Amino acid sequence: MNIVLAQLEHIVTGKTADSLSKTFGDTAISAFFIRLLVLLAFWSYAAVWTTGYLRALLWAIAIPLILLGIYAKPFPSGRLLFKILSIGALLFAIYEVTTPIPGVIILLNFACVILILQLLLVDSIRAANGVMVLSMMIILAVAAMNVNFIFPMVLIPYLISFYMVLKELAWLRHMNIATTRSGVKSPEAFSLRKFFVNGIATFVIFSCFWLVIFYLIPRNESFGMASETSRRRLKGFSDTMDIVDAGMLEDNPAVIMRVVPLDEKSLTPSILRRIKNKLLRGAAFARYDHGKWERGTKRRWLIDLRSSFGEIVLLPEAKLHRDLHRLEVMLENIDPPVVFVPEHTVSVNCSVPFLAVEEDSSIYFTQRSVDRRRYVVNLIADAIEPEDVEVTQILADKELHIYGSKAGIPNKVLALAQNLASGTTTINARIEKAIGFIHKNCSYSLRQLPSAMDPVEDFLFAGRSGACEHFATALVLLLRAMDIPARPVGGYTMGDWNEIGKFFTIRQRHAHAWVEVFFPGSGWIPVDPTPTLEEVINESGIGKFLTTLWETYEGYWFSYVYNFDNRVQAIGFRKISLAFFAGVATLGEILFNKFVMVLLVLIAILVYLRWPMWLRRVHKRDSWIPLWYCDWEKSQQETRFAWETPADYHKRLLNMKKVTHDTAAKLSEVEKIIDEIAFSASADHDNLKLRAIALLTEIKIIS
Amino acid sequence: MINTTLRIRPSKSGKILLFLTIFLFFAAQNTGNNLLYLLSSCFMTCIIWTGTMSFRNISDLQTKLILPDSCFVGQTLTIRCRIEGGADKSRYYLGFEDDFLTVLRPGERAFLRAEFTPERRGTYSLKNFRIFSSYPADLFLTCIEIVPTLIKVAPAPVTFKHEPLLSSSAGWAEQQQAGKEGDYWMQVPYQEGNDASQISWGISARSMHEWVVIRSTRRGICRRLYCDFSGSNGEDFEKSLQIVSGLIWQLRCKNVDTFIWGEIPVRGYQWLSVKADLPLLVDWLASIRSGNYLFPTDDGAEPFRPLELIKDSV
Repeated sequence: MNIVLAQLEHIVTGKTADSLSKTFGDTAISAFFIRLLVLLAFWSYAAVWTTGYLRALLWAIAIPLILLGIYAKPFPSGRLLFKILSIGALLFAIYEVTTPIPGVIILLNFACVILILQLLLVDSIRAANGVMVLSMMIILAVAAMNVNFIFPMVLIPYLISFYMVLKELAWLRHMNIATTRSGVKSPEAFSLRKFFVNGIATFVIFSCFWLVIFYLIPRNESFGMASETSRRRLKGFSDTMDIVDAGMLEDNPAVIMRVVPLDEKSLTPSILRRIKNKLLRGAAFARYDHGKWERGTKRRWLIDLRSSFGEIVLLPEAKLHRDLHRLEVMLENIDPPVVFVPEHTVSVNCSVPFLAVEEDSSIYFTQRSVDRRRYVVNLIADAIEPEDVEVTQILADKELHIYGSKAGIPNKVLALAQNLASGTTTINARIEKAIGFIHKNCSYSLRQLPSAMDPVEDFLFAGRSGACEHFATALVLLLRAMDIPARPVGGYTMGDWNEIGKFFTIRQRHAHAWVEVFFPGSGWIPVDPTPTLEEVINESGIGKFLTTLWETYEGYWFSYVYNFDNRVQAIGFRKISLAFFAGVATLGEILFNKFVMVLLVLIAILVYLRWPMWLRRVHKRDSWIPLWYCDWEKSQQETRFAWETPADYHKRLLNMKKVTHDTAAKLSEVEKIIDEIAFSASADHDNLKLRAIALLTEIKIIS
Repeated sequence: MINTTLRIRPSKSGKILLFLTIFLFFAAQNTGNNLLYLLSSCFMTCIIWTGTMSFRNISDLQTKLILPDSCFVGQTLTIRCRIEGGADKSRYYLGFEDDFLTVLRPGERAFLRAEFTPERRGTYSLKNFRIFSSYPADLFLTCIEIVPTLIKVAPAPVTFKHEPLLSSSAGWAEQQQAGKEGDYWMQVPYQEGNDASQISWGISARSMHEWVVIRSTRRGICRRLYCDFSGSNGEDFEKSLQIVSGLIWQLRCKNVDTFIWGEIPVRGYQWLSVKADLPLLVDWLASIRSGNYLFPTDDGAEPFRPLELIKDSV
């Protein structure tokens, strides 16, 4: 408190705003607060765990973290050692920058080490602030990695811990400001019901508000480089292919399309099995350059579907095939707007005026849609056996040249191809040799480590593991090196068959890459070099239920959070505005209806005449005496005066000998209950009221 | 209750989180990373949620500064702030100066206090006093600013021995003891539950109800003093005031009622009772300046010249 002296007028000022805002950094913290910080750090480390990186470091950190959680005391000495360790961690991080390890991983590594060192020394609010900042840095770095759907599972408990830490900080700050603390009381008595009601209400309101803000934040189209990579990883299919920086491939369950067999004959098990083996073709690639694939000439022909009855024929020679199967494809709104067609598709029926066909046979919609696309494909269920010919019969063709080019193929791969090709002359034999080598030496893995070598060279000779893109690229390069034209193709597998809905669900996780090989007599024939994973799943009923729940969550997460972008947002806004205007229009129609108008006028007249007042019972009261007691005393012959308390009234009744002494005792008990209801916040009002009403029913006033 | 102004502003932690939210929003815009959007919106929600909770915690809180009736220089002055919430919700973490209240349950009222010791006589303006709270999560500091209030402080009482005044008539002081009916009194009806020993049976006997005398004055016997500060200026004047203050203090301590000729704002000079009008006397002593005195014309008014006492003591 400051006193400013003047002549006879003095000013006494309270605490200044600055003194209230002090952080009191040197204040010691309690064991409880240290445990809260340990919890906060634990969730940060859990977030790092979800990335799949730094597992060894996290195991090493777990032990001191658990010990600190148990003992909840900072290290009494050895600060110099910790400082040296911090500098060591910094130097190690600087060294790691020169290695191919991604920068964000280096940052996470450094932050994780510093966080545990900071935690071991945490003894004041200032140090606690450091822990909070570091933990948040880790969470943001993990978020920036755009990893997977487990992250929100960690994010929510992290945020709760963060909130608890902030709450404890508020308490500590108050305790520092208050030196007299005359008003410090024990906290309110814990009530399980209150805890659950408040907790659930808070969680629901907070979550709704959170999602509303998330969906309403305006998004723009100017995405940076990080976004492009992450979106490509996310999308599964893309019209670009880069196996150098494929990143972490997602097990992404977002639904891309549904494929529905339209004919009864297509629903037999044998046909369904054959349809399931089909690959949904997206786009093919031509030029290879050190792990990156580029499209070919990008020549595009516009097909006018209006002049062909909405049909585009892909295999004219098979148009009259007897065993064609019609499949309806319901394609979600994806970018780029590719028309996915199953292999051996004879024709496509679509309700758009134009479709674009590129020189690699990929088909595109010419206009972007705001909604789901729908088209029907007619295909041959049986696989087409290519006519095997000698490699020498492949004629030099201008169109084929680009797909047979040996440009960009590493020398080691060329040498391997020559070695594999020796002794074989036909296309099929060379394909078998190449696939045999790949299957024998390489395994399937979604996890990729950075390497300085050419990615195909690394895949075939060093790392020996990779995803479908690696298998496809390796086979294409080997075949090209063996003088066979080949190209990698991106698209989807047929996905999961839904027995109830009778359709195939194709998700992001079904994105796939395979190879098309040119056979002179048969054209481009798909060949899939990626080994099939044999999965044996024996799940119980509960397990299946949990798996379904998990997959549902994953689907929602990817469809409505992960994939949400400005386009979907614009569609959402448009839908909301349409619904709003439709609602306004409907309301207008209702209001301007003659009957409704008459009704409204009638209601207005009734309101003017105060009819509603007769229809409802209005209680306007500012008294502490409960309504049920007022009702009771009004029903008595001798009523209570307005200024009388229940005690006065009862006393009067007793003086007037309107009640017996036994009844007076009951009235006295009613008085106590009324007092308790009116003046005790912790009283169980409902029970007390019931008890009092029961007593009042027993009371008889002598008339 | 005093009119109050509610202010809410972000604390340091709140400012940092707000900055981080904006930074994350730009990062999300630049990268298109939906997890950054999610974090940014979460922090934004957290800020708005906490702000709302902070506001609700302190809104509708009734406050009142309770000041002592009178205060003299050198005394420790206790300012009490009465806070009262509604019956609908609990309030948490309420601070007032150095005092702190963890929880104010529905329907409860509490008093928080602050103390200060005035060093000079005069009018003290209490400014920037506030009830503050950083509940629930230290992101916002909410304050209820209490409107400035004035308190008058009389000079420090000097314990001068006023022999002529205190012992001039034998038994004079004893006659003025409280509780005895006098020429003028003020009484209130006895309420059930009050201290029955306070009942004035002398008055009650003349009515059908019990009465409690809360103030009585035997006007005819009380002395009437007027302070004559003529000739005193500056330091002497202040010393004179301290002597008058000391006289009033001693009379009050001895429970002797005396009328002092003092000035009240608006109403001007009039006789003020040491026992009943102490706050008015304090106000007069706090604001009196040297010169321009108006003396009473009543018969029997006795002059009191503190300057003479100072000279005698020298």
